[in-house]
Amino acid sequence: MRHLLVGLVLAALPALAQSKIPRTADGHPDFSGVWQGGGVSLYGEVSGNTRATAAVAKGTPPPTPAAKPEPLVFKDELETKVRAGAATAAIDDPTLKCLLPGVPRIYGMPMPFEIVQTPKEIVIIFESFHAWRRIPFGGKHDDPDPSFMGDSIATWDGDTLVVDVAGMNGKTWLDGRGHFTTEQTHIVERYTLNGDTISYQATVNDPTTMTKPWMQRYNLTRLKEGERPLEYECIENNQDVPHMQSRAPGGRGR
Amino acid sequence: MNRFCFAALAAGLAALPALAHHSFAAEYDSSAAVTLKGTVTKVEWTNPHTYVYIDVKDANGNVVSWGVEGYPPNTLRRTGFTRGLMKEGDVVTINGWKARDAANRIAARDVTFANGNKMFFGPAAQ
Repeated sequence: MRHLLVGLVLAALPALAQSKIPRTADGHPDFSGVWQGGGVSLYGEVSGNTRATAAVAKGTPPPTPAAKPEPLVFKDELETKVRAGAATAAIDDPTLKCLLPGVPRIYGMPMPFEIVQTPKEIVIIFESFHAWRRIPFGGKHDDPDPSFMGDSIATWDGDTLVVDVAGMNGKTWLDGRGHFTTEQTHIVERYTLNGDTISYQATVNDPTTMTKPWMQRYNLTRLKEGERPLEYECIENNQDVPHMQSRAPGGRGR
Repeated sequence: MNRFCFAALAAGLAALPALAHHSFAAEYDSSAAVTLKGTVTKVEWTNPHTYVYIDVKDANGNVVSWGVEGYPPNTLRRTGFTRGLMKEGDVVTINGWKARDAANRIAARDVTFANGNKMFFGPAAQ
């Protein structure tokens, strides 16, 4: 009898350890909620504001910056093209024209996004550029037409949500410094839930441009209950481009 | 402590685009800080940025219109700066940085209203 009790307690320990994070009825971590990655404009003012903001509670510590990104190294023969893109980034960065930022760059945008999780799929609604991702569990990439946000498939690796992204269209940049994607760009994302933070890690590989896979990390922070993505129609009043094209460093000049 | 937290955060996220879709330095000059006091003539509560236009008297007494760029409406809302807080006719003092192309245009950091209330309106210079 004593052995049975000990056995039951031991069996219950992993469940107790796992109880710190919210879980769905089928036992997987529940990522549902509203989150934010990049956030200077949202969080940067919290410490300076005497009030709590609408999005985060008063006294909320700023999110811990993710690890410093690894250098993104392209093949030597492509460095000229990358440098040219970086030199004219003030004009040619696709996001400046309000085009979708792609994966993983969208997680660095200073706007929230909502994750809706069901047993069959993950849906992510981004405020940024009103992007969305519909990520089914299982299946395979079925010759998708290339797109800015790619084609995504989810699987579980224990408690880590793994998303495989293919079908990128090569019209996005991985950063603001000219490192472009191609239709061969392949991304594996890993989402690990730690209470009110998601450790996000994306491994990007493209044998046509990169000498080795590149990893990007973000700490995604949960926003207050009731916060939600709002409309962001980037092209509504985009006045910046003509000013940047005039005399900006690297611009075309007048 | 507050200042430290913000500095640490800004340093850690320096590579991120605080203005969401364009770099600060490409359009504005962080060495050209300016303070404008004037009367609000127009408010554009739009994306990807809000714009406020103010009439400012120059040294010769001439009235000059300045365009002021701020955070997107959603970000302002989340920091407590709600639509309608700043209206045509309000007298405001705005700190910011001038545009590189020398147009009468600035990126704002904060707005102070006639009653002394000071609010963030845009990101720090980078």
